Amino acid sequence: MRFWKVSAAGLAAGACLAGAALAQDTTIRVLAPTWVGFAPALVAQDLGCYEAEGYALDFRFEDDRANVMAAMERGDIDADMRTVGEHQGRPRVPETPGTIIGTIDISVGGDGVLVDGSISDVSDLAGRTVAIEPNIPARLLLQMALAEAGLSLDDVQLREIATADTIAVLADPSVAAVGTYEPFLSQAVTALPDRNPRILLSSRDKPDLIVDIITARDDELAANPGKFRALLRCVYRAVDFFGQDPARFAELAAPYYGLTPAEVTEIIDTSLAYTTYEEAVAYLGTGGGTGKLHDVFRQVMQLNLEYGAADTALDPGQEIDNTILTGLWDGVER
Amino acid sequence: MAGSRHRILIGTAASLGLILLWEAVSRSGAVSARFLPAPSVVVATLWTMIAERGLLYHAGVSTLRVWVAFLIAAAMAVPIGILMGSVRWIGAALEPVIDFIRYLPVPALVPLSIIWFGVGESTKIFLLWLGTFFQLVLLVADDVRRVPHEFHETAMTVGAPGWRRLTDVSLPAMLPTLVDNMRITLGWCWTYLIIAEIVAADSGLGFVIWQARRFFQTPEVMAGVITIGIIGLLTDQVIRAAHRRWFRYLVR
Amino acid sequence: MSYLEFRSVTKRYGPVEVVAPFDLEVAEGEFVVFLGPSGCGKTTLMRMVGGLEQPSSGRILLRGQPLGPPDRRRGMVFQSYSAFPWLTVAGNVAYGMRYRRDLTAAEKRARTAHFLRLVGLTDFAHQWPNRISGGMRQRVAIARTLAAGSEILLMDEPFGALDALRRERLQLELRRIQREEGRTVIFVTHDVEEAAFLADRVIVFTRRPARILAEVDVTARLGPESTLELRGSAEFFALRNELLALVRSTDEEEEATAP
Ligand SMILES: Nc1ncnc2c1ncn2[C@@H]1O[C@H](COP(=O)(O)OP(=O)(O)OP(=O)(O)O)[C@@H](O)[C@H]1O
Ligand SMILES: [Mg+2]
Repeated sequence: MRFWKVSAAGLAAGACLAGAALAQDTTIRVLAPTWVGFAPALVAQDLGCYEAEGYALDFRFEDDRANVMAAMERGDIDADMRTVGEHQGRPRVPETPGTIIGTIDISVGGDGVLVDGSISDVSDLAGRTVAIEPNIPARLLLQMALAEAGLSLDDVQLREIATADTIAVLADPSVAAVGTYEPFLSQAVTALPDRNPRILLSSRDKPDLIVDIITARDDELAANPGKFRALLRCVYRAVDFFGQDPARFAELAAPYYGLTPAEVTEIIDTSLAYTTYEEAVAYLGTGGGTGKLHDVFRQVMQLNLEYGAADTALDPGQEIDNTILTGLWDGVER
Repeated sequence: MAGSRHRILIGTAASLGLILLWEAVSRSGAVSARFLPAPSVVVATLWTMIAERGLLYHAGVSTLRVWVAFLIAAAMAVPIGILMGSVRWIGAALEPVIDFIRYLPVPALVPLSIIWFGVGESTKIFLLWLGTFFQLVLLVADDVRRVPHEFHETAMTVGAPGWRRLTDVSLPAMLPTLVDNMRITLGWCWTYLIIAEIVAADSGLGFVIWQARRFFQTPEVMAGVITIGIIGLLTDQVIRAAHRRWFRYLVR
Repeated sequence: MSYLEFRSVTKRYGPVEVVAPFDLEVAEGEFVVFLGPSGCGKTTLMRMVGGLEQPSSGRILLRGQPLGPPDRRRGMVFQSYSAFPWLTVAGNVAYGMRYRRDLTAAEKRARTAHFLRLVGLTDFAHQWPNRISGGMRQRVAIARTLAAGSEILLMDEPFGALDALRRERLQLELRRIQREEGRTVIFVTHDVEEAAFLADRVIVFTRRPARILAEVDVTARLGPESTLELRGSAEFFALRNELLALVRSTDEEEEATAP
């Protein structure tokens, strides 16, 4: 034990200290899942925004929530991006680092539940097998729809899967439904004609439920608020840029995801909407007030607690902080 | 040497046959091209990935990571393993601990390693190292124990001091198997690449494969996997050739 | 004072008594052969002389001094793994002197060449041990122990794996070298003929725990020379049969005691 701890720690010290310590104050370090919804943060880099603000961006992909929380805990990153629902997930308690300071996109068709041809209504799912990765947004959609039909997740047979296996899982005739996200959602429909799949539930029908938020590490937020102001300004500038020139935006975003610009455009068109500064303000409110995100937060919290994805009821007033958003453009050009 | 040419011929023919079969299966439509793209498609994808997505850069990054992790693991495993295999109480003390850690699932340790090492290079190296060191150290310890006691006794009866027996007898006697075991564990190290490179990912073949998987680009996934396979095959062959060169004395 | 002396040496492994109180004196330059049934404790005795095993009680003295841990005064030649495969023939012989500080590099080279010549391997100096015959490998080991400066050669069935012809040639050579170099040899074998041919004195053991069943003074019976002509002589034959009878008696003893 001692041998490898020592030597590995030595290695870590060598590798990290040199680069990180020097640049820590002027580098915005972000972890986010491999999702095109977060592209504005990356495209802003190509637009030279961070540089102009006096910062550099260090953006890495990380799909695993546990890893992001570990990195946050250690102080290795300044911000992460995720849906509200996942933000609330276990093991978050009020003291866990991470405060919501802005939004970046909402899911509009990007998440959903696929069913085979035999299912025409949510109530048909009772007693059937539903495959889903535990904490993805599609689970919330399913949970809400079941609740509306007077059912709950306990009435279906849940199977845990990895979302990337969506199509292979749905090919199994014993599976009646799969909760998933794009591009698997639309590809499954064409890939498995004999199962006659159909999108039963889509985030398109609940546009406010699945909101991607930007979270700041509390210590850094207190010590260095300018960093987060720069991050938000750059994100919303990139969203504005998308509004003006979506084609160019897709071109700039594509290489980060190993996609072609056409594929990026398609994902954006079918799945999501970027939130502008004004929309973000509508979600978070300003000047210490509240916005619609506070209601979404409560609603999603309830669903998460029911399912057991979260075990502490968090207070949106504590988790959401709109001070960075307030007066974001004061004295600067948008 | 005619024998070795034969082997190469058979190996190539078998591989070609397999590729042709694969192509036929994909084209026949028996398996959806979404899951099993034809090799021709994969090769074309491989080419565009090299030209447009810097596949060679990612391959280089991965190779470097694997080798750094592997060399650290080897530099630690060889002396520790030799001590474990030669000094009874050291072996007795370390073996249970190492056996225990060896069975820990590396993916489950990722968050812990982030807490320790952050999201930089060190975590990736650490995870690769984790998958290699504990396997190798036990192999080394076993190799040392397998050195015939006659060799040690010969050394003792010509007056070799204890520690010189480690360097003059244990090490050279086990070297051929050591190199073989290193070759094998280097291969294992590559299999941990996906786990290591999807952590706070920004480069490497593991990252490329994982990203392609995220967007359901099966040809890209295959191309990435094949790149790892090719690197593995080449490395293996080079080490085998070196083994033959270094240990000519084994040939009867 | 004799040269090498076993004084009431015993050895037990847990409850198993392998060597019963054992006394023997060996003269300097003597060629002693241990002959006895399998598992009786011959190897154990020899390893105790080499310092690779400690007596449970009793003492082994060399020139009146108790033996310590292994050192180069007592060289071992094993039946297998007798040469390091990663060293050449010459390298193996030179290895015997690697830890000697009393010799210069030039002296070591000269001694290597000398002992290679003595065992007839000069032409194979640069060959790998894996590419020479088993008999040659035994010669390498003998040369290494001689080069190390061992006074006593401990040889545990060194020729066991060889065919009759090679074995005979090696026996002649060993005898010659031992005479020329004036070394003491303790030699373990199962082969009665080999014992009769090589030995100055043959010690025949009982079954485990090892006790001396008989001592046969070969030199007194056949003279000091070991030649091929001798092998055909009637005296040799008589001696051989005598040893065989002794060995058989231990075997019968075994059958008698078997349930
Ligand atoms: N390390 C050990 N632990 C326990 N028993 C041992 C050990 N070494 C030897 N023995 C036992 O001691 C007895 C004598 O062994 P030894 O090797 O000395 O016999 P040997 O006369 O050389 O036999 P062989 O002719 O077959 O080589 C055997 O019964 C063996 O099983
Ligand atoms: Mg024996």
